Amino acid sequence: MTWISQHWQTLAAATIVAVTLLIFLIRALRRKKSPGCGHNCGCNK
Amino acid sequence: MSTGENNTLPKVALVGHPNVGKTTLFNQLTGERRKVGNYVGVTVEKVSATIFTPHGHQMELVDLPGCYSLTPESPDERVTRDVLLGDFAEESRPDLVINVVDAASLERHLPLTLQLIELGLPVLVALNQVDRAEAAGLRLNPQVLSDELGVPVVACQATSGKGVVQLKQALRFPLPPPAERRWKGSTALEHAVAELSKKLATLGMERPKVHALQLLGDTDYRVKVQPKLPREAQIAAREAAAACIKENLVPEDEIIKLRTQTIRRAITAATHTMRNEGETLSDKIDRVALHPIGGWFFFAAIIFAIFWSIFRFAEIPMHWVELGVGHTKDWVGGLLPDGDLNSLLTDGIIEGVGAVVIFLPQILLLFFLIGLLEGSGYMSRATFLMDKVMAQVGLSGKSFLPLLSGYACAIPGVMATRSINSNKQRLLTILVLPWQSCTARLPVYAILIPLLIPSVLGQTTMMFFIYFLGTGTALGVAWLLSKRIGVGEAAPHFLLELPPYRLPDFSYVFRHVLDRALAFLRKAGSLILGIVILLWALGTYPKAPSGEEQDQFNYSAMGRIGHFIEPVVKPLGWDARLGTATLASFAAREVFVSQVAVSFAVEENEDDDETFRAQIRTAMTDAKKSDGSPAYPPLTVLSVLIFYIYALQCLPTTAVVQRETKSWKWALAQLAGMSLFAYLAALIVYQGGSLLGF
Repeated sequence: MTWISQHWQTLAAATIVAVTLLIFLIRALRRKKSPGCGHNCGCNK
Repeated sequence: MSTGENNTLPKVALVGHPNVGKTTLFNQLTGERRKVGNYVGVTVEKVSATIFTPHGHQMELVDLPGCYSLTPESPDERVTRDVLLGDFAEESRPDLVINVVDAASLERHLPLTLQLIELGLPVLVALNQVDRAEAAGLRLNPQVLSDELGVPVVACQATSGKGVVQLKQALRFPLPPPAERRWKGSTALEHAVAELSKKLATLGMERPKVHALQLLGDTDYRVKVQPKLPREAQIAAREAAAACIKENLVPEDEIIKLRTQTIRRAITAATHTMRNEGETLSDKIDRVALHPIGGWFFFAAIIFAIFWSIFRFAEIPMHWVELGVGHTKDWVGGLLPDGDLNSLLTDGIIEGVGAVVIFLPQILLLFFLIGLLEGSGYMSRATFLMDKVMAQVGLSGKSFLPLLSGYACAIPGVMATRSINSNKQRLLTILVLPWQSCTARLPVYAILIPLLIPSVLGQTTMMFFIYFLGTGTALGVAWLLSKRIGVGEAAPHFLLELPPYRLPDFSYVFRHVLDRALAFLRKAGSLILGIVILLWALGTYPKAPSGEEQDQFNYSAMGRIGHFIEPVVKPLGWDARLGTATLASFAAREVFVSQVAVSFAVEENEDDDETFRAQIRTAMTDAKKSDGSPAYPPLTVLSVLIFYIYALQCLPTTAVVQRETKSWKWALAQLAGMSLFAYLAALIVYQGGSLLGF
């Protein structure tokens, strides 16, 4: 078995985590187009 | 078809008092398609939509902020006045104003109507709540009212959609022309207006008659707008005002008197009272609800009943959600062999997000009950009761509704402070508002309170006490800060209408609850999902060496962060787990529950009757320190509760505070101040309790 096939779950999980982190960073650095609160506050404003 | 110099769509603006039904009418006319933006340069929302008239013409419908008059006392009202005058940058003047008026309160609403007519705008009166007026014994003749005012009048009941078709029919091209002013002033007044208007016209000013009337008859307009006019216009306005003083003429007073006479004449002609009912059912209920002492007990009983309902009735749907989460976890876990991806999906995502989603029924029930209270008309009574209390602590009576909104979420509460006239009172309200226990805290309370008190009645009482503590602290700190900020004399009392009690509009309440459900799920599926994934990673890596898997937390990055901050949280009775859970929940409070679930890696319990929440509590109860003593005794749990009551753990709230106050200084000071307050309160509770032997 190759290393990848042995550890594919770890790779997949790490990829998901990395993508999540990247999304957070992009959202934090991106200038807000609309003057809302970020829309993830759970209050629809 | 479009009008206007720039071929833009014709603009129709909805104008009226707050809570008169503008938004309901807006929703009826637009089918609830709306676009929300902001007016340039101010933090006031702009709500608009594009509609088609029955004749196929497209127009822009704008829901302007509610205002009692065009003499503004708040940022919202100022925007409405400036948009209507065409003095607002990048906003064209409306081509037609639909003035929404309460049919049962014409005397209070028609002054605004006359002011709109005086602006030289085409006006159409939407006489709302006609059913309620008729139920109260008032017979209205819209045609006679229309003849008296000189503008079209359409009777409607926005909540049921009655009259909306006629209103749409009235939006035909060409739009109604501007009406003539309905009153004629004294010779001196008319001469002063005419002279100033002539001078403004020669200076090339648009709508000289309108501006002349505003400059002479509106002190606020004169003070705020006059300095922005060209120098010659300022001189002309000052000369006109001086001429009035010479003739002992106070234009503002005369105009108000003339409007009042016009309104009384119109009401006498257009209305007929059918019967004198004496004391109505609403009056009888208000004998209790507004009683200086009994009213408070009534209020407390209602709030207690709400909390009891949340604990009692939400249990069944919460159990269904728990079952769903559990089965989903089992199913997904069975699809993959053991490994990191399996763990991320099951222990991380499903368990972490699921731990928060489980509380959705409680949150929705809370919104539903608050919606019923608002729809029944009781909230106005509660506002009236709170007015005196607000004034005692330096807040405005208008602060109550934003503070009440804070029980749902601080963000709309902070934005609702725009209706507060005084900037200092507005700032004060914003600073203390996050101490209202919002729904995001509910999952934390719901997990921790049963650790202290097993009975539902006891839990309800504790919840009531927690909310009381948060609000009491908010008012107390407001009193202290009011001296520091210098709020000064008690603000003038605000105008508040007490509508009769009525059955709530259930469709509106359910729509509102559905809105909140979607917003909550959106948040769970985005922000909380993302945080849970990152928390899982911090708790999983680096991995413990083989044979020491039970010590994974201490080996992980999460554990290392926890141990790093442990000296700070240890005096509160917390350990590394609680410290990291609390740290993570600064992004979103609900994450506390997720992190506790994930960090304890809540295992499947052989006891199938035990709920997921109970499993978390069992894990916390069974956790032991190295010396064998309980890791989370009741005093520690209480310390965590106290921290969550007082801490500002919501970065979106800080962002909105900065936007509303236009000051990072106040936003960050609030964040730091509340964090410190929470820390000290938790410290006093834990250390004080320990000294007392608890």
